[in-house]
Amino acid sequence: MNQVFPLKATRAAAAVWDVLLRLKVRDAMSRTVHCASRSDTFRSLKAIMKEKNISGMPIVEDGRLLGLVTINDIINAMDLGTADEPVGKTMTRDLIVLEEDMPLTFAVSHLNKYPYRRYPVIDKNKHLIGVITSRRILAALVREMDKEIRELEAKIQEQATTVQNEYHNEYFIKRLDFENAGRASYAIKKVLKDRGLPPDIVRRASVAAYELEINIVVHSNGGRLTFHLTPDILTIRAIDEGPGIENVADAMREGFSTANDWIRSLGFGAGMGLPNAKRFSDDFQIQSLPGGSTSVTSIIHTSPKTT
Amino acid sequence: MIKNLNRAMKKYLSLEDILYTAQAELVHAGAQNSVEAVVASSLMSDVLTIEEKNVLLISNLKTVQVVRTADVIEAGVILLISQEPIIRDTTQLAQELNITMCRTPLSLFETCYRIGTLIYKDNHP
Repeated sequence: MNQVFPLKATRAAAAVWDVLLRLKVRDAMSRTVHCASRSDTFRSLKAIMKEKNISGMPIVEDGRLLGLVTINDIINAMDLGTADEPVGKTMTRDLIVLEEDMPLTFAVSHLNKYPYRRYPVIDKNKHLIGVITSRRILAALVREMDKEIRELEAKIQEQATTVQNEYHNEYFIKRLDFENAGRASYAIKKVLKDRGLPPDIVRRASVAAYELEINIVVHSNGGRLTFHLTPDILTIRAIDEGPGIENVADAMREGFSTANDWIRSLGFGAGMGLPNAKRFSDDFQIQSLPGGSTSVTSIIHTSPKTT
Repeated sequence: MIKNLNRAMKKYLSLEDILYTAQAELVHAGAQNSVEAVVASSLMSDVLTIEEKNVLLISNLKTVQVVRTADVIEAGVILLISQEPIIRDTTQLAQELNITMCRTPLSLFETCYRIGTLIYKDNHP
């Protein structure tokens, strides 16, 4: 079948295309459908549509879809003086429907080809089981993309490497993502606890990692937190994608902050992050290029130094 | 901001005492049911600077970051100041990390005053 899709594979992001192909019409449709029978009058349907705030009602018999009555049909019935007649006589019978197991791309295509905003969805036995709208398609797509992104992030986070008593991991941190901020430091803390490191080392590393992670969320355009553990040394490094620090000495001063009131209302931006991360570290380095990236390294010795 | 209970004459505060004194409801019963120090702040940046262990964290911030911060500093109990029920994301994270969480409808000032009274019940500072 020569199906015309509004989205071209060559132009759409591959991931979006995959998701649209993978999703079925049933994944996006609404299963709440207000139906009527063909013996109902236009006037009674008008009352229901007004109450439910809907613009069309499928007409069914024994679950099978017979037709559709829209607001236009009701207006016509009012004009013609047939408002109290059964809808079965003049309802729209030539319907465009979708089947539940069609890929969602078919629904997108229908929205592009026809002027209608909603389509009845039927099962294999031609029974009406739902309704699909452009809003439902978009919601399903966003939901699936969100799930996809979370799965990809989880995969990235699981790419930890362990080589001869050494452990390395990398976590990607998004700008202003307060919902997930702290997940990377929690993962670092868990690794340290699982490996039986002393509680004071775990706490210092957790605070330093959390401060650096929050710093990326609050002040940068996004970045990553890397974590490297050897039998003697634990290194946490925050590398962001800019915009860089104007004056590093100022940034290291307690109480100095460029955060706005909104950030403060979320509990951060008091100008304690970098100084605190340094306080809990044995060694601390910071490099920043104004307009470029910033790299902050916190080193904690996990066993007494042999100097 | 912070009060170490050892210096304040009582060795610990029990969860029962905290709930009763702050007229609080228990949102999640986690691993700890007593604390050895108290910190009250709406700025997690400040909370992260403390070195005390097993603290009662009092805050009128109600986001998941309160729980994250409590976990980082290994707080024993979180007492949130809120007239309304705590949002689901926050309670879920407290459950996931098994941190005891309670909520009081009192103001931050009133809560701190009452907890202070509890600490200094027998001995004035």
